[in-house]
Amino acid sequence: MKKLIFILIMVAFSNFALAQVTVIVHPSNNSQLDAKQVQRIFLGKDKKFSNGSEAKPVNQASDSATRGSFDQDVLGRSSSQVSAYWSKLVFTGKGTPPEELTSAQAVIDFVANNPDAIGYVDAGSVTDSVKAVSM
Amino acid sequence: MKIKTFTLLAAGSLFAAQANAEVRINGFANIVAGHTSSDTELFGYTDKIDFSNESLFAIQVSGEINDKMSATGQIIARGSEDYNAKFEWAYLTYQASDKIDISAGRLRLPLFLYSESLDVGYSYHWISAPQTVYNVAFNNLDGVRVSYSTYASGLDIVAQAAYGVIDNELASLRADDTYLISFQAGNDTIKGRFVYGSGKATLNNPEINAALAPAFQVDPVLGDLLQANQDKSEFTGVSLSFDNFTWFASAEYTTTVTDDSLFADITSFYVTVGGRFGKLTPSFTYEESSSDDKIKFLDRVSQYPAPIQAAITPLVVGLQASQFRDYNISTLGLRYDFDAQIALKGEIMAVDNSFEGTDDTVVKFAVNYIF
Repeated sequence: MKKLIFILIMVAFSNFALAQVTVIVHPSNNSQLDAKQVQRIFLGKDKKFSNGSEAKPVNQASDSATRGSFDQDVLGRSSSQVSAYWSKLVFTGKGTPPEELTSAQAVIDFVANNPDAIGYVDAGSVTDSVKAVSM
Repeated sequence: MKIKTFTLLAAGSLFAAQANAEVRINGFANIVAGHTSSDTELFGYTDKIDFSNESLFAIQVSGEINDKMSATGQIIARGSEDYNAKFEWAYLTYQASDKIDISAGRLRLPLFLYSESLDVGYSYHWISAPQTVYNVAFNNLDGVRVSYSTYASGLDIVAQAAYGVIDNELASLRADDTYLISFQAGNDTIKGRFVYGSGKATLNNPEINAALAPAFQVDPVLGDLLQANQDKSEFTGVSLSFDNFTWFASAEYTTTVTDDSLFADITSFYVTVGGRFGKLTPSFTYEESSSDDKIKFLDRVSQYPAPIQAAITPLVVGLQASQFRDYNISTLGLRYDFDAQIALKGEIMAVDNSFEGTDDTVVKFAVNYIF
């Protein structure tokens, strides 16, 4: 019985962890980043980090739960609102939405190998090869 | 002819770009069905259901030529033009710095709050942007546009300037020496915008030219006063918008004034409010457009001998009165986000035309798609 409760708690926590999104950058990236700046980079309003290098944001797939949480919690709007926002920029030639990668691992690999990348994964997936941004 | 050459050049550079850089293809489609409550034709709709009047399919191709330059082409096939595909935009953009970019070619004139995504139904809550304000014959410019944008103390600021020629063959309207400046400032929630533009308007419509012929016979000066021929036309607009992602509201007010022509001075505005509740976005819009209803040039007519006055006055009055308008529209709309790329919409519009003394209802349904 105790074992079952333990498992249930673990399951509950892992679900919680899935919903918790952590923003990650390359370990060498020493820029100051707060929630507002992350939002501006992912909405294409800022194109550079505070250290002056060109930011390369990467998204998760539009049907992933992590993407949904990120859009809602960090960008402050639903995924369809974000997509309407980008449609305005795309069709006016003003910008292109961040490239979509298929999995958390793909995001980690991209960020680990690209000093200017910024991405996000569920908190449980963060590894030592990237730097977690505290916001 | 010039634009065709340019279009070819732009298309050529798009394809050339393919060899060494990323070429992006995006598209959008609006399928709109609608009909009116009475048999009077209204905004292209009648009491028979219509599927093509406001429907369109579009493809946008953009490619980076190098770090600083990109090419954009947008091809639209409109149902109202029998789905004949045309280059709506074809321009090159040079990113001069982080804050300044310069575009040249055929591009959208930044007249209104929603000008730039006017054809992309998916990008807003209406089926089409309020037509009292947005339905003008001078939305596209062949010329140059410079944009400056910056972010300072929590404010996004965008200033734009454009210069060129408006050449709308469908409306037989041309405006030479057109220039426009706009200034926009705001944060994530509130945004304000001001725009002023001016051009030398020429209307070359065979029917109106034929109607003007007697005026030219009586007095060439009177004919020229009535005719829109290189006459200065000025456009002014202000807008305010609010959006906290749950609730949104926006309002735009525009005036168009044309000197020494049969055109009336037009004032239009709309106010829209709405809310986003999960996948549903209900909204309400009130819009109005009216003319100043002044008959000009009668002081000149009064100098003619009485028989000529009697003969020419009805024409002078009639030509100008044909441009008068006074109507308002109240629209209840609902958007449903069916998918991240597809929105379904329904609208009921109550059209109250005080000038014609008619009341009509228009019902529309739409599917908006982007890819």
